[in-house]
Amino acid sequence: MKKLLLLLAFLGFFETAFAQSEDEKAIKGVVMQLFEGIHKHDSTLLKRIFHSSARVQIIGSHRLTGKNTFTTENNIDEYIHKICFNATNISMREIAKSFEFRIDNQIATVWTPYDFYVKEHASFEEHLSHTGVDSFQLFKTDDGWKILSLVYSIQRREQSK
Amino acid sequence: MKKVIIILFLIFRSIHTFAQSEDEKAVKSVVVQLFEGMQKHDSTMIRACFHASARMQSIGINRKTGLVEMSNENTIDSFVKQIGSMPMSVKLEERVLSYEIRVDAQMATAWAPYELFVNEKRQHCGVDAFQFFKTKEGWKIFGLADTRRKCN
Repeated sequence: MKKLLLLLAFLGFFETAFAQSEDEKAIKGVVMQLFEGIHKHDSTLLKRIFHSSARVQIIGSHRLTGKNTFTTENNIDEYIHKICFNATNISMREIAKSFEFRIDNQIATVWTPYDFYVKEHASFEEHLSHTGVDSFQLFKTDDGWKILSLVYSIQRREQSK
Repeated sequence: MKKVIIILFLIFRSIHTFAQSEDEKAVKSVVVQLFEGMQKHDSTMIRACFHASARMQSIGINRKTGLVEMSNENTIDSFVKQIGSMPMSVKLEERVLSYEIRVDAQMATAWAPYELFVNEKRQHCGVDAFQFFKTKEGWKIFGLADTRRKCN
């Protein structure tokens, strides 16, 4: 009898763990699609994962002056266009180092430290361009989780040792 | 000798923890100031918490349609005016249940489940998700998304 209760308790535990992770899995899928879209310069894929009102903001220090900079991209279509059509010969690969999720019904945030690799030409070697953290806010629509806001910090290689 | 090493280790560790939490404390104090500003209907105090480009978004269920909706406030001006023009007899109190703060250099986020009390009656519950940028004048909110729902 005791064994049965223990087993039931275990099953209950797994069930809640599983139920919680459904949204996490879906959200992680959105982040992975973002990285894939950037890598493949795929504007259709990128458009699908952003909410139409989404904005992208970049927090970093200027390459030459070292001054703190804060850039806002208010128009998500323009941002996607930049990634997909302005830098077609540059290969970009972003790797997430960890994921931290917070979910409350229709809203979620993800905190993801990343490494960003760039290959500037087909014949060049890929190098670590910068590191930082991606901070996402997502909204759950009928059509799945969409990115409402993406803010990322940039630390250049010299600083990120 | 071993004891000295242990003591030194503990000192360094506490210094390290202290250094980390300075930014977290500063971020938290911005949220506290925002809610104090709301309670006092003090628009100057509220405005000082935000970056000029700040945006607010609310996610909740539309009472008429029953559908989940998102409303956008593209500037904080209307929010500040709304609070500032409320009669002083309306008592707003946003009680935060917990804070989860993450900081990376000049960027930070806070996740804060809350309960909103209007005239001491619990109105709705939800979560505030803040985004902060560290300026020369300190940490400023540039993004706030919240959920609003009935309390359990």
